[in-house]
Amino acid sequence: MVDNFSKTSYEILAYITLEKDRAQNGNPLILVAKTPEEQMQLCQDIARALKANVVQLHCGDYMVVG
Amino acid sequence: MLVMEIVSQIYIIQIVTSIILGTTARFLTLIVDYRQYPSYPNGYLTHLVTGFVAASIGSFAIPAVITKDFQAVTFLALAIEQFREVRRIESESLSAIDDVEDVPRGNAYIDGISKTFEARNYFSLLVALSSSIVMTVVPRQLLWVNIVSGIIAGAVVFYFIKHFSEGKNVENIANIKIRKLTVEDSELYVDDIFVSNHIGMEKARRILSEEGVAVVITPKEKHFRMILQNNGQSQAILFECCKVVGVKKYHFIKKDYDTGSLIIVLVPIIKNSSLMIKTIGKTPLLESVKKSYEIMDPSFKAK
Repeated sequence: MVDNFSKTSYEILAYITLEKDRAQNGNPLILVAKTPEEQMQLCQDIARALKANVVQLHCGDYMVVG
Repeated sequence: MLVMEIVSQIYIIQIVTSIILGTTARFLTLIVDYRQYPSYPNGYLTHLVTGFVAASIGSFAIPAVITKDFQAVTFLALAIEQFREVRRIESESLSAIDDVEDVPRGNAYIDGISKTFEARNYFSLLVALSSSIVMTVVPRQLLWVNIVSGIIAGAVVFYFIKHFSEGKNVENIANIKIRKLTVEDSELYVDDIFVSNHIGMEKARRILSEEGVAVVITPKEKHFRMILQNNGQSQAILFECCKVVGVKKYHFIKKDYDTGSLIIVLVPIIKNSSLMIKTIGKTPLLESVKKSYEIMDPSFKAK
């Protein structure tokens, strides 16, 4: 769970949203949660498993980045 | 026969004195370098022994020339090769353990440390060589005068080389201050400067709010930002900081392009702000990133 300074680019490991319409084609795993609680829990579980950081976007969606 | 024995005895005293002086020079510089040192006591012993070898080579050179054994002087060239090998090995060793550190040292810092280790062997060689030369030149009627002259010569050379090769630290070019960090939603700010938004989870925000420490490093002169904001230098600062206070969870580093400052935020294991400031201040300025002639001047001191 660290921000490595020497790391210049990050990879989006997962995108967790509540809006089904926002899920488009892409490289990362896209998960559509039913409730905000489920969305947060998904983020937490994925971030813990992958030892990654979580970014919350202003639209309310979450990205797990590593 | 007796004359020959006396001559040999004089050479032995000369060689032994020079070796002791050269090895002592290495020993003294090893103490200074302890913070950068990768391992203790085995790495310490290794460098002390290579210092001894360097001092021996410096000691033998003059007696070898006097006894017309000119071939022996070629050992000096061999010594230089050997010192380069020390640099290479040190670099490889530090690179190999870089992955297991909380924060990597980075290639620039590793290169700087390796160069320093190579240079320190020349200390031993030059101190031993200079004391050997002086002991050859000074009359030997009074043995103690001869030995004392050698010691003085070695000490003077050591002082000058050490002064010449002395690097500057971050505290020479920057002011270091602890600042308040603020967490707004999933964004982290220090002095209203955005640092990171990698704190999307509530737990991350709580940990940073309660235990996070933010340090702002501001250059004393405008042009010092080139050094401070160099990636290699920043990485070295972050490494030293994390190494001394430990990293419990997060560490972030951010360059502020408006003021030229460098911002470090981390959740330390040892929450000691003054220790963090001291550690950052003592981080050496890397030779490879020095861009200002002002700090190349050995007489340059912190303002």
